[in-house]
Amino acid sequence: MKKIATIAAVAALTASSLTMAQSFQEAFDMNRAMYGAGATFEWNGKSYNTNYIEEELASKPANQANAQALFDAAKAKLAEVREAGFAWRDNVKYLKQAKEALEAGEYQKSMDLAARSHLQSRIGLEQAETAKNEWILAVPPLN
Amino acid sequence: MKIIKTTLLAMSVAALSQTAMAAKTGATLATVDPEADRIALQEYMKNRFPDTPISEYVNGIYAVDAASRAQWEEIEEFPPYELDLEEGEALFNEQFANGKSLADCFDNGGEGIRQNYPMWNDERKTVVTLEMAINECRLQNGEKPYGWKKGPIAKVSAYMAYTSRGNEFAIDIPNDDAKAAYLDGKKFFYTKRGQLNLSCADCHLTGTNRLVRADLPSPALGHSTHFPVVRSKWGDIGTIHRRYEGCHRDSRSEFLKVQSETYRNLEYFQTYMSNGLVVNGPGSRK
Repeated sequence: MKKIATIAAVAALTASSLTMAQSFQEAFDMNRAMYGAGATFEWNGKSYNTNYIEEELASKPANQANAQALFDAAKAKLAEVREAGFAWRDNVKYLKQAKEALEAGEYQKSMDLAARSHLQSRIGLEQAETAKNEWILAVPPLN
Repeated sequence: MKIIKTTLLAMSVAALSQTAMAAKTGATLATVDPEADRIALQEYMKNRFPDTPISEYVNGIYAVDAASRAQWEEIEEFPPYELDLEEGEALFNEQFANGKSLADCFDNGGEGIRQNYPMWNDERKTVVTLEMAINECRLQNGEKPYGWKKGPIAKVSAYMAYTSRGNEFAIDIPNDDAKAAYLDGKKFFYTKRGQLNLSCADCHLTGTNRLVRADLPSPALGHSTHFPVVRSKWGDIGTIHRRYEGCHRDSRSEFLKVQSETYRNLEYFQTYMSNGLVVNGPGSRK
């Protein structure tokens, strides 16, 4: 009985210890979820903020050059995620709206929309990467 | 020493517990085993719904939810696809300008053959669905192809399914090229995608008969046996690829074109999973 209890305790400790070494991404995701954008957190002795890269890009001065650069980056990212087969449904719509805003001289609006499109593509690519090894885990095993 | 042994044993238990519920093989062409997949899916459903015989899965959600079934049985007293069947039969028998008809393009005059589709075409190295074969027949005989999702294509397909009712699905995977197409379809079915991060399996395997808002997703087993279907939501008859497009869109993915290679491979995988079940299309669904 004592042995079984010891096994159970060590098994529980082992399982929990697997999750204790937090990667940067895990630390970022946790702090982002808890505090939202614009917060800071410590990881491995250094300080980082909780902004997505797209929020950093969209907060640059709203001018034609920055809006065009962000639009081009979002367009390239969309092509990449489409190639992987993981594009999201509304992504094209945001990119089209970003282009319309850019042409109308509404640079901040364009940058916000392109940033949203870029974010969707980036997460879609993360899905594609995760799926490579994990899709098989959903298949029922033959007992 | 005793502590080390106990610790190692416990670590093994912890590791095993995390992998026991997942398939360990079948992700590659070298290891994929369609028959093992089919039996495993049946076992999964038997465990989830022990009171439901496997043969009942041709009825979709109505196999596992009594309340939905009662409503469906009342609808089936006057099947909403009856007129579509009549029109489908007329279209099937319609003579082309060259004097031939659809019957000339299929084995057995096109009757009682639904259970063999989708079919692997080794010359073209691709999966051919029944709807694809119908439209290719029309093109080869100088006729315009039908639209892919609803209307005449679904009606003709419904008639051909009706003439096959009771025949057991017998999808063949004759070689490694075909197996690769099957694996592609299997991978698509189990892969999470879209803004909602959902796979087909999330709704139609683990999510079967569990409320998604007001809907109860149907079981994956038997999915393709009853298509084409008249869906209450559509208000008319449609093909399985029309449904694929809708599901894909609902996961907030950029959906594919109907009859794309990916959707055809998905249908190939899904219909192989239904091997041994009978054709009971066309059907009516919520």
